[in-house]
Amino acid sequence: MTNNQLPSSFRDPASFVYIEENKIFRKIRSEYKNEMKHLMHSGLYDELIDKKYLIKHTLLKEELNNDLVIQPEEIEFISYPYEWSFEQIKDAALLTLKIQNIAINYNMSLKDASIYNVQFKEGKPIFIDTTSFEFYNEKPWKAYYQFCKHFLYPLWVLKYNSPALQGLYLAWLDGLDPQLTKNVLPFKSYFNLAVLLHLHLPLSFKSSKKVNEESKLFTKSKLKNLLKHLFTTIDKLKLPQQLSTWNKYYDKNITNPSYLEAKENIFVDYISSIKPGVVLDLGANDGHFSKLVKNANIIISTDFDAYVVNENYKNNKNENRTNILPLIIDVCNPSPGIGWNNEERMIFFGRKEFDTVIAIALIHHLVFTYNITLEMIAKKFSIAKKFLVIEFIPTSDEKVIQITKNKNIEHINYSEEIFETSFSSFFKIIKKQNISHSERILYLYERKD
Amino acid sequence: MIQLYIDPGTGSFIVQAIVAGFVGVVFFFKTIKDYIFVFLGIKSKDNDIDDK
Repeated sequence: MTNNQLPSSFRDPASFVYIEENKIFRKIRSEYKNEMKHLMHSGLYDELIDKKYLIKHTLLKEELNNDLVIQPEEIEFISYPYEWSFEQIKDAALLTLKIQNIAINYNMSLKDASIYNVQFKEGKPIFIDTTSFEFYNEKPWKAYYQFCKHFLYPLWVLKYNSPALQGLYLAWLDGLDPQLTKNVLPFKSYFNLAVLLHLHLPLSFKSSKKVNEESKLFTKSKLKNLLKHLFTTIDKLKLPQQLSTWNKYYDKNITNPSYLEAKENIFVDYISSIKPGVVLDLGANDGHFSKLVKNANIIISTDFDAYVVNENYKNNKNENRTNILPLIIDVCNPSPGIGWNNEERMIFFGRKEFDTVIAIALIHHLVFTYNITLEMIAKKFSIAKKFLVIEFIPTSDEKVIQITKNKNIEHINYSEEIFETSFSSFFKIIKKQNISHSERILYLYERKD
Repeated sequence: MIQLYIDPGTGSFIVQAIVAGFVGVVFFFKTIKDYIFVFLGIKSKDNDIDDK
């Protein structure tokens, strides 16, 4: 144990992850040496690296007690399944199955199938737990039940109930219990053979009677069939076509294309005049403006609507865009710290510093729908270390009229002047421009020291 | 009754055996179907666990 061991890294006796001088290291205990040797020299590691399925690492040293220290490549931004959309969870599941399928070819097997072993890097899921591999012993897959709880059951709930239920991961850190899944799935799920096989069948084995099956041989071809079946089952899962308030927003709701074009032009002008670095786009919808940020290290493109985040992810995947990470984040209720001591999974705003914050068409919602004051917003957005690109929407704007028509807004302090005063506590204006065909204003702010 | 102390693994071993046996039969027929499709020049659009 070291003092700087990550709070999330305590479950696996084989290794743990720690931080030293802002760098991530993994210490692998000598007891796991044989497995590690096999992973590295059998060709399994090379194949997984080649396919970009597993995080690459460098071997730094072997200590006197034979413990190994490796340095894995860093993940730009850590995210969790309760922030992922349906397609992201699905891709993470398919990746886990592909890795297990390859591992068997090299006589290894995943000893666990936690969804927290997967992160997103360059637009794709990647497996980050280098010490999850154990020797394959011709037995059924030890991690099958965990795989169902972490991937399969939640995906069914998202598909059959609502894709906005990814927050269930927050409540159930170790995945969804089968009985709970059975209780919430609608009747039509009974017509899915896979649901019967992987959910109702295991639930029918209620008694604790000892079964000799454990000692039975489970050949590679049987295991491969199981994996292939899980793979096709998950690969075929599609969300029903459904419109939320926010998806296709830019197609449905922008009546004047000249206005949108004018806003895009100013936005691109602002962004290209700065070095955006690590960007947080709040209320990003389907990533319409995130896509216009070409020169960033990474753009965390967030929205609270699960449908639009799913679109965002799918578009980036189809268009091979690698520097956008779409996440389901409600800026009014960002992910808390969960797990042991509330530290195992980090709070959203404690994971990384953001150089630039983008808030397009957002603040009127925060002010008029959620009653958050401009001062509070300015203070929150001061997390931006360098720049803030923000749109001011006046009360005369049709969208503000729309959201306030049943609301008394006289007591709400909201005007261009109050806006500028609030933000002047933390930022100075670099650029300010009216967006033509509207009364909106786009600001480029720089953080005061 | 909530059964807290049952090893979920026990049930999962039996399930895996049943599922593997069942899908083994399904995949046997699917292989024949795929073979016929290939013969007829029809390409399968399915994503596959083995990257081809």
